[in-house]
Amino acid sequence: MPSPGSGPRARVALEWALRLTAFALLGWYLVDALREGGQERVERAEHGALAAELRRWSTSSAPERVAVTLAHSPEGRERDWLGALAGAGTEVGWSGPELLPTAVMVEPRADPMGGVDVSASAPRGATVTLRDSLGELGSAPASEWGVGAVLPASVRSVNAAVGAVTAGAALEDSLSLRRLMVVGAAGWETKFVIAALEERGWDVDAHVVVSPKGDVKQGDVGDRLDTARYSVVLAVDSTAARYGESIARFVRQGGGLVLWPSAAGVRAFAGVAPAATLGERIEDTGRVPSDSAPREVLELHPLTRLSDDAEVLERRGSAVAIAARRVGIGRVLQLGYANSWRWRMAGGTDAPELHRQWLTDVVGRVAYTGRLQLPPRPTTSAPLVALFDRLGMPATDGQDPDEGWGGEVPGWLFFVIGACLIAEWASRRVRGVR
Amino acid sequence: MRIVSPTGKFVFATVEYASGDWESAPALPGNLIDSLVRYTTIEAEPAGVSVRLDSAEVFNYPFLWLTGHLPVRFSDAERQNLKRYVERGGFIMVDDHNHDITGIFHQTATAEIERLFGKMKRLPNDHEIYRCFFEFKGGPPHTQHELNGWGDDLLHPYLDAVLVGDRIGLLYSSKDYSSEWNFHPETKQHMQQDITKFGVNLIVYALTR
Amino acid sequence: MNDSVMSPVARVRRTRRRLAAVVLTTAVLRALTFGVAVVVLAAIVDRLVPLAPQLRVAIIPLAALAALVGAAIVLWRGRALASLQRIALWLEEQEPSLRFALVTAVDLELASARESRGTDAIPDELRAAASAVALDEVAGRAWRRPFVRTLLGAAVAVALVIALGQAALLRTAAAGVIRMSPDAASEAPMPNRLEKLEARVEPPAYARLRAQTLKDPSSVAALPGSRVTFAGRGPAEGVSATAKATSHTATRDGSSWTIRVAMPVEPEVLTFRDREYSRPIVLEPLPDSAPRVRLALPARDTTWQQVPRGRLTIEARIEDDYGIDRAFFEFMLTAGGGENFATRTVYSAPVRFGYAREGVLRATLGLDTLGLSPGTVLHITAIALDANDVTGPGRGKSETRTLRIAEPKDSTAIAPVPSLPIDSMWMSQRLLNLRTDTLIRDKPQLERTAFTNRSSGYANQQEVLRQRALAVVAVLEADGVGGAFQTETSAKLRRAADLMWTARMFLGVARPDTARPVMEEILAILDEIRLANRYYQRGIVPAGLVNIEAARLKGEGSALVGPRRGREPLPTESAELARRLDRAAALVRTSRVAAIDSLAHLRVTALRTAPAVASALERAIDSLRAGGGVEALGPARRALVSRARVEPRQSSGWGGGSP
Repeated sequence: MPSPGSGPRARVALEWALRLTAFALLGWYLVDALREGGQERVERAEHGALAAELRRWSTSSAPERVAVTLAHSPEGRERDWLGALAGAGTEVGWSGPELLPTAVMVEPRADPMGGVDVSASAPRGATVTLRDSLGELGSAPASEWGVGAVLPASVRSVNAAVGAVTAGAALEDSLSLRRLMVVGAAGWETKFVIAALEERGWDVDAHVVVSPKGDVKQGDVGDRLDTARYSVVLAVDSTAARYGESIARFVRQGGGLVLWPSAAGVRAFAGVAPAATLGERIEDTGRVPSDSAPREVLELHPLTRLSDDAEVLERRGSAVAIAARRVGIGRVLQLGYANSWRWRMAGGTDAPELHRQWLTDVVGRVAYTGRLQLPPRPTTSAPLVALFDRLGMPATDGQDPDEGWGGEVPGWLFFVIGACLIAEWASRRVRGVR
Repeated sequence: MRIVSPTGKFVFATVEYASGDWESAPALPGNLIDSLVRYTTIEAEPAGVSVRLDSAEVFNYPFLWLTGHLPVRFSDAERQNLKRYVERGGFIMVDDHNHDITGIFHQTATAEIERLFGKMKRLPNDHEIYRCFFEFKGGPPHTQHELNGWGDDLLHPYLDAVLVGDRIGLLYSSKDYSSEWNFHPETKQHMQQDITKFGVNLIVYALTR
Repeated sequence: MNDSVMSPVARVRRTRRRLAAVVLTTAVLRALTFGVAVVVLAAIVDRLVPLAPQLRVAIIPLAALAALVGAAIVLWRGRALASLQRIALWLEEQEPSLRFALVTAVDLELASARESRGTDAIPDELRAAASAVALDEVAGRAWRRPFVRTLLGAAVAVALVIALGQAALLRTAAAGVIRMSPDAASEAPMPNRLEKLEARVEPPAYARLRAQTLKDPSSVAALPGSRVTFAGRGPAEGVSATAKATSHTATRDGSSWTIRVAMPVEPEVLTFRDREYSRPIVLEPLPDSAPRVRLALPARDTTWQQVPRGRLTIEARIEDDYGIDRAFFEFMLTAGGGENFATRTVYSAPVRFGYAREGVLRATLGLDTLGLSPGTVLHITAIALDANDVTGPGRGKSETRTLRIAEPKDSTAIAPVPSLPIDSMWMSQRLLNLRTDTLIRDKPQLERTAFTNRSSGYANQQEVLRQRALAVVAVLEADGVGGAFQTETSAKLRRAADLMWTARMFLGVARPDTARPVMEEILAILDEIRLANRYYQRGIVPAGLVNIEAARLKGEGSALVGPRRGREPLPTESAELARRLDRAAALVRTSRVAAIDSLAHLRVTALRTAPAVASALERAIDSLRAGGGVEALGPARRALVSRARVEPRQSSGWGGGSP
């Protein structure tokens, strides 16, 4: 049987305990809130919820700090929004453990039919898919140098997608092409080189050596050999020697020069040619040039003793078939193929068109052109770079502080405090104490 | 398949076709080669070759000469090759060795050509081919056979052509240059005038255009 | 007649007649007033708040109903005119001084009439009292004012009608009762009559094809000359179709409109118009190919050493897509030599094929009757004509067989070779080689599965060729007594068959690049095997070597090499198509109808030059019509830019353009 004085004392003790519990919890919450007020609150978001969180952060929430975990380089809109948030005073931290570097560039082709060269960089082996406004243009796995594409003139802007990342680029300028000058003796290679280039749309001046009695001349050939008039000189054989010094000067002024094997021996070209000598001739196999490897069967004069700054553009087996170098502000490309005309005449179904394209590629690599600015289009050609540029370096682990309750009163805390206070009051009232 | 001229020289090629006497002007190649080297610096093989029109080898010779007296009836392969050849940039001279527009060669050859390329166009006499090396002011020079009333007893003042763009791909003659230039090589030294000069124009045109 | 001598009943009757006239007139006026009032009220409301067409349709019936009601009210009120007593009572009401004398007199008179007692039953003072009042005047006093009111009401209604004007009232009139004004018509627009078109295609009779019906087509493909009847719902007036310079007007066909055109020879766009609506439909003529004729016998060219005798069997196999009309052989016999040749051309009697799609033409030629002699050349060709009586007939020719008789002076040995299908094998192998090249080239753009499947298909074709080669080897090596011996040709063909096995193996494992050089070697062997004497050479061609060094630049005379112009670039049809496609894509965003029209015209161009693009454009047009977006043009653009090269870069690049 409890002692007469023990009941009320126990009750009083319980009441004190409840009172103290309530105040202790309140005190704990106050201390924590004060402590958190000295530190900034961090709001976090994953990539999937980024769009919704951005809206909330920009309207109702206005956090001091945000931390975003990105699965891939964000869309330009989201990236710019994060940047705007940072500009408005919110500290934006981001991280992305698996962000793929992707970039794309669109350059005009030196080709009367227009067209663009697209270069897309991506991690080796990644599949790069090129698209424009009308849909997919093609895809290929990236080599160590990425993916390249030659697209027709109707394509002006291209997106390169690697996984979820899309980089976009648009043509920024167009080229102003000059004329070509072809010098060679009357023969099939000279004939078909001129034919192919003219059919492609190039304006060609030509000096075709026929006889001491007279040569075939087309255009004001040789009157003025400078980059105001010509983009490239094509020397098909040693008859180009009559313009040797002018051509060398033209190259040093920025012009382009394409040398065929028979022209390589011209003394004036010795200082500009990528290869000093030619190897033993590899005869034409006589086979039909296939569309897949048309130059495999052609007569080849391997380029040997390349200059230090020469770059090999094509090999056939171990032999160097095409090489190029820069000379001053000009460029020289040297061919080892002597009879590309046979590809056009005897090749597969698409041979004439492929031959035209190839010759235009050759000429385009060295052509001197002017550039005309086009109206700019808003694109993001390198999304990851843009992300770094906009938001700075990514956050590393451990930089975010312990965020506590985040400034909100948990429901249970309020309940417990309330329950304690109510219980304490009820107990006093039951005892008859106010 | 042997490429006759690995050094890139000009090779005079006569077309072999199945239905006719393609070899009826055997001395013509040598005479034209001789004229070519007499007047130009163009590198040429010293002898002509014959090449089958239905073979892939025909595409190794961007200049062809086709003549005969008999009917011309191309096989499917010959037809296909001829069309491709002309469209890709080859030059083929087709000459009626009968000099007779009522004759069977002319009728059948022109029918075959029209079947492939449509109606031939009459070449104007101030065309580039008449001045691309020697100048022929009145158009194609007449042959002795024409002037002697051989065949159809007509002087044909024009040549007809299949044009690819503005380039001659096939040139058709009813003037019988195959007889005119099919003389024995020894005869040339006795000629007062070189009657083969127009042949030089044909080859120079083919090599430069 | 004097009132004093008229009986009361007669007088009341007379008054009744006049009252009836007034009532009827009033009824008419009331009906007019009510009916017009309804229309006027509707017109006023319509001016303020335009009434819906359904309400407008109800105006006239409502007005008629109101008129009937107005008239009925008046007539109902005037029903008392049926009873003379009631008229008499009414008159008593109007003229109290009568003190019921009139009604009493009328009652007595009517009773007397019933009992046939005449008017003598009426007391004189009663009669006098009844006659003392002029009943017409009394009645007149009563009906005059209401009548005037009614008349005024009618006048006001008519005045309002005039004031509102015809247009406002017509606007409220129901369609079909009163002709709608243009304003009213536009308020209830007719739907687009170009939707849900049907096209019935009736091919020309010679093709013997059934007619077919296309539902809602964006293009119609049929033989030239086919009758195409387009039909749509709705009246014909205002519907037309235009193609190039020709215009067609729709004709009525029941509740539909129809336009009939003939399929042209060249593709064109037929643009339908209905008010502001338009719809292009591409008319796509299908080709009717000429018959394919193959000369089976003689199987190949032949050179006889001796003048042949006997009969020569000639056979040709003919196929046509729609039907062969007739076929015959052409024989050209040329004799002569040197510069003198004469040719005779003879045709065999034509054989009719009753429009069969395939057939065999046979003949035998009596060689003895041809007058053959050494040096003669016989050319045989088979010719077939199809039944096309619209654009044709199509004329198909076989290859020509050249049969020669050698002359003794011919010094080139001619060895006739047995009939072998080497030519067809050579052509098949060549085609297979070209296809393999294309596969190798397209590899970067192809899915792995598609690449493998194609390569496997080519492996199967190579195997078929190998079997054919082995069959020929068996023929060549058979010595007729069960043994076999190898010939030079059979040895080469065996080698070719072995190489075919190798090529087939590589193709089968999707390595066409490895197979390709082997396939080239196969082709070279087949080329070599082909008949040596197909190209017959008479005599020996002299070597004709020119002494280049001796002759170089020895010629005299001057050359006049004139300057020349450069040539024009090749027309780039695909580039132009791509530009037009881009413009159409831009239009999709602003005007779908204009974009569809533009694409239809583009398709017509593509039908001539790029059939694959034309097919893709047809699908794009259908997609846009169904509400698709600009991405519908993607496949068409991919077909146009199939040569777009997307591939891994092989180097750091050495691009073009100035620094």
